Amino acid sequence: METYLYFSKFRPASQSFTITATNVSNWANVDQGSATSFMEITGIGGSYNTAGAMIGTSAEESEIASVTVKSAGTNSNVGSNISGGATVADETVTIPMAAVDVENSRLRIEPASGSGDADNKDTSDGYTLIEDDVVTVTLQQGLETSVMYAASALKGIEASATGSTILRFNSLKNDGTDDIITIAHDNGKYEDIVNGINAIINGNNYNGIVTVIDGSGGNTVLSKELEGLGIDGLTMVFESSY
Amino acid sequence: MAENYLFFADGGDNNQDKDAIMFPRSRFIGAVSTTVTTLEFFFKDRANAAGNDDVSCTITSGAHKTVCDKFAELANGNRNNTNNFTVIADVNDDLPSNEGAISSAGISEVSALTITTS
Repeated sequence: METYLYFSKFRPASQSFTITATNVSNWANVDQGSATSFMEITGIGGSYNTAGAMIGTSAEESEIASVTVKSAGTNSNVGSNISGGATVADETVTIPMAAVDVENSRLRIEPASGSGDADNKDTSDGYTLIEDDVVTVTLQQGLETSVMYAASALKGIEASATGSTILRFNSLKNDGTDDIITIAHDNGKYEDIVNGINAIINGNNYNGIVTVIDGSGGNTVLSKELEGLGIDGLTMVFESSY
Repeated sequence: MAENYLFFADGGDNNQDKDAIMFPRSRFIGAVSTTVTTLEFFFKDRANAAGNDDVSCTITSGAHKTVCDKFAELANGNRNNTNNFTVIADVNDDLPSNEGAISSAGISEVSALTITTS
């Protein structure tokens, strides 16, 4: 009988941003979100290969289900593919992903108007944001957001800092470097983490898959062996892209 | 203890390279989400090559945990006193006429799969 350990990253189900006058000013004629102020998405990306590069060119985009804008007022600087090229107050429209970029967890939307070049303007799918627009990003399962390991793939558990512990697994791809899952927890809880993982694997409470840590959807689900340890973060680093 | 043998077959006719494959359960390492509709299963390489073997499954959107649950249940099923292997996913709908149907299609959330071996 094998025990299977399931993990999922921490992140909200969705995240919203209310556009400020400063945002509008900073983002004039450039991809909106790419200047000194930006829309930073919590909990996406975060998987890097051994060279320190984000895994997969679309690693973060794959985690986004939709991007919508609730218009603060009448806006005619909207791509022709969006609501006929204009929106009215309180209208909510979906931005085509062709006009959305995500890099280093920062979301950018190409404007539909202005003096930007082809890289910074999309008259078909873009949307020029105005003050008090509300941008809502809904997340979904994507590249390396969740993983399941056979317990027999666990190679070791090591303290990496007073508030974090690393679980080391045999690489899924077997390219020479271990996969690692880093758990953020209250200081000084390493031994409790080890005891909890040991109880999950060697105890008699489970017969198959165990949700060890699932931080998806804004709700943290922990196996009962790991409760009370202040677990509030989880990152997964895989050896190679898929 | 009896070993569980896990069977995968794609939409081919089981007569081409990588149309179908079977792994002992003990060779399973893990599975990872790759998109909202794909989940990739990894097994220790059969040929002891550098890279592991994998089966990338197209699944119902967002059903990764459900598929993992069902995989674990099937992989841990009691195989004593049986002579069957365990179908994880068989999406072959065009078996040759001289082959009998396999008794189970496996996990219903899997609609397609691609087998990669090293």
